[in-house]
Amino acid sequence: MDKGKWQRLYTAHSKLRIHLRSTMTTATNQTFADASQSTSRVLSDEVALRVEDLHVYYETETGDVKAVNGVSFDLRAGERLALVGESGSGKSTMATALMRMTRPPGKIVSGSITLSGRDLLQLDEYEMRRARLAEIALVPQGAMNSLNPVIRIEKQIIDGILDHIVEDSVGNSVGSGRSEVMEANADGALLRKPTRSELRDKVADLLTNVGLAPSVATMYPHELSGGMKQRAVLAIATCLSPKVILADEPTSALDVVVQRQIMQTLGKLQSGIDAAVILVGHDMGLVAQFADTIGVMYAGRLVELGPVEEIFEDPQHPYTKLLIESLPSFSEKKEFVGIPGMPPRLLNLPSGCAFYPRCPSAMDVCLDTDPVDIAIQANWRVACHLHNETGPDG
Amino acid sequence: MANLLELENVSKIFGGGFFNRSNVTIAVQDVSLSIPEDRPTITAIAGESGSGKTTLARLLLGVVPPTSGRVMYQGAEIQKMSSREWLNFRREVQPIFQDPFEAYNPFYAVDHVLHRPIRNFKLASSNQERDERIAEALRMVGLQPDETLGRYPHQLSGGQRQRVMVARALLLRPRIILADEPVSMVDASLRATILRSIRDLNRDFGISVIYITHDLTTAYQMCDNIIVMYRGSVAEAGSVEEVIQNPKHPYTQLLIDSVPQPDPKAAWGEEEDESVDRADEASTITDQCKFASRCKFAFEQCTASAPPLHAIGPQQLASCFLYSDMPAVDNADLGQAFEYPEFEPAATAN
Repeated sequence: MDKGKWQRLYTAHSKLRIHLRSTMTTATNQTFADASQSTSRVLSDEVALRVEDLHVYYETETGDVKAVNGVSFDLRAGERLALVGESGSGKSTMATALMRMTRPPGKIVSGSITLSGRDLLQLDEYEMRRARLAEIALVPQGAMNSLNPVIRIEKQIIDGILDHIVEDSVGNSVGSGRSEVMEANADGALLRKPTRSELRDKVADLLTNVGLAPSVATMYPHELSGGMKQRAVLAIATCLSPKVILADEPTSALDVVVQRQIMQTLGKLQSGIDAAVILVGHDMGLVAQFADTIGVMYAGRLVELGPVEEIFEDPQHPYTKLLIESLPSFSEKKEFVGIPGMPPRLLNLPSGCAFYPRCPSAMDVCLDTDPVDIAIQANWRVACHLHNETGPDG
Repeated sequence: MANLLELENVSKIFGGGFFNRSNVTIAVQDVSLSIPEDRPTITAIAGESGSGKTTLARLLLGVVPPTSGRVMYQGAEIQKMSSREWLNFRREVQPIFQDPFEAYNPFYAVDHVLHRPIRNFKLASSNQERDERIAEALRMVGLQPDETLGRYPHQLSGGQRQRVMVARALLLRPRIILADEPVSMVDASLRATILRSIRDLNRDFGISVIYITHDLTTAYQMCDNIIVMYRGSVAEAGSVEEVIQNPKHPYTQLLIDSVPQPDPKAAWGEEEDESVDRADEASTITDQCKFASRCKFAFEQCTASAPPLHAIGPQQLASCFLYSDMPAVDNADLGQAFEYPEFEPAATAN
């Protein structure tokens, strides 16, 4: 190829990028016009997702690794729940189990996950495939690597939509996997096989909602920056208006400026489609700013679950307390305090409280008795012997 | 005061091959920095991905040569060192890398990374002396030698592996430690422990530390001074108190505003940020402010010429035309604006 042709290609390419950036800026302006603050949110009592006594084990030659060991919680409609914990605390296993995507040697041993009246664990594989994306959608860790590099963004968004069109025996489409909800939403586009132009409009809408220019639809992932890719993934996750969005460390590979933009977009999307969000991560700063409710996981158990503001104010479980105390901030310079000791190995976990060896206020009872969940107040519970009988101030 | 490590108007340009001479990336542009010999400090180099902070570290380590300017260690230019000086440099300037999972050969026990430097630099005359030194270094970073030695990398947690790496750096009794995102791969609860062991090296043994990070909160907690980089240029530099508590450059302000504070009552960036992320074009810009396209204060001058560093205060420099009324310091050595804590050489590593 002669040099002039290369030159023209380069010029065309850079012009396209500049065009894209300017259009993206305007789209972003519209999207962020009225992002709401998490502090002023009011939640209904309607339960969107109920997890009861969930056990997920990894089967190994030397015994079961109990990665999720009896977790129960209710996720209210529109709630933002953050699951936090050290690596190895079972939070990512929890996320995959909620999508029923646990792979061997992992195994969901017992429990139930109830979403809109159905136990996800009782569905057959076909029904579960319908429920994914339409009712519970995953924003995976590292969006950079979750898009297919050789398929245009548009196709990757449409794929999920097309897969949820239900066809009857003679090949007429009779609705999406969530047809009754779709009817309620009067979103007719998905009750039958959408036309090409309807799909294109839908993609343009979705992209605008996440702060991208509609022209991104025809681009390949490598043409987008990390933040833009993460936005595209958000567009895929929300394309069927799921009731629950599961975000597994959605911003772990992004810098702080982009992180804030993405989290604001997620918040905006969530209130737009009235979905509940489960944010899995270990960045307590992000949790404090984004979530309504925080669930602290330790050794496969939910040791404390309650409202973010109260827990940051007055954490009840010694582990939560240490976790919050160890956070650096700009407000004061202090000595670095870590949490002493190591997280326990989940293989053949001894009886008693798993945090016992590291706990500054351990008692004799902690050694042999499993702590049970104790209600501090409505929607706030802690699994710690310190709160036995003595009430909330113990 | 003599300078241990010194950068003199250093630039590093990548790319620009035979076919596309115009397509270059300016990774580091015109940075001057000195680390004094007698006053050990912890300096943070902060910035988003692509800001050139890792390239700056690699220049300081001498693994990439600068395109222009000079990198000097104890007055000698790194690229022109004799092999003996170079060996000494490699002992006295020690890196700690980001990923403790990739720094090990999984076939060897962790002892291997501790034995090798001792053998290479002939630091011990007998196996007994070697073992004593290793045990001492491990204890300094809070590890029990008998629990650590003889184990394979996969048997240690990420935090332990990273601490073994700190111990390895310490074993060589370095003058400078360059830590490139040492805690980005480990959990928040272990972060504190590792950062504390690095800081103790500075406080107790007078080892200067260059801490490369994108996490401004740990930089604030740990460091004396900070350099904020944006697309290869220094946006702001100075003592960490001044820069973090009173940021002057709009980019520093945006960064600090975007950090989610672990307090639900604190506001997280009240102003909506409309800036476009990742302006790749900026990597080739030299004749205007690189931040201008994202800056809400941008005016004509910003796109007409590149801003010099202005001395905002005795311990703060910012490269921004908003502070044109402050004296401009051209080619300023950033080290001049740094704060140096009092150091009592109670226990010397050397």
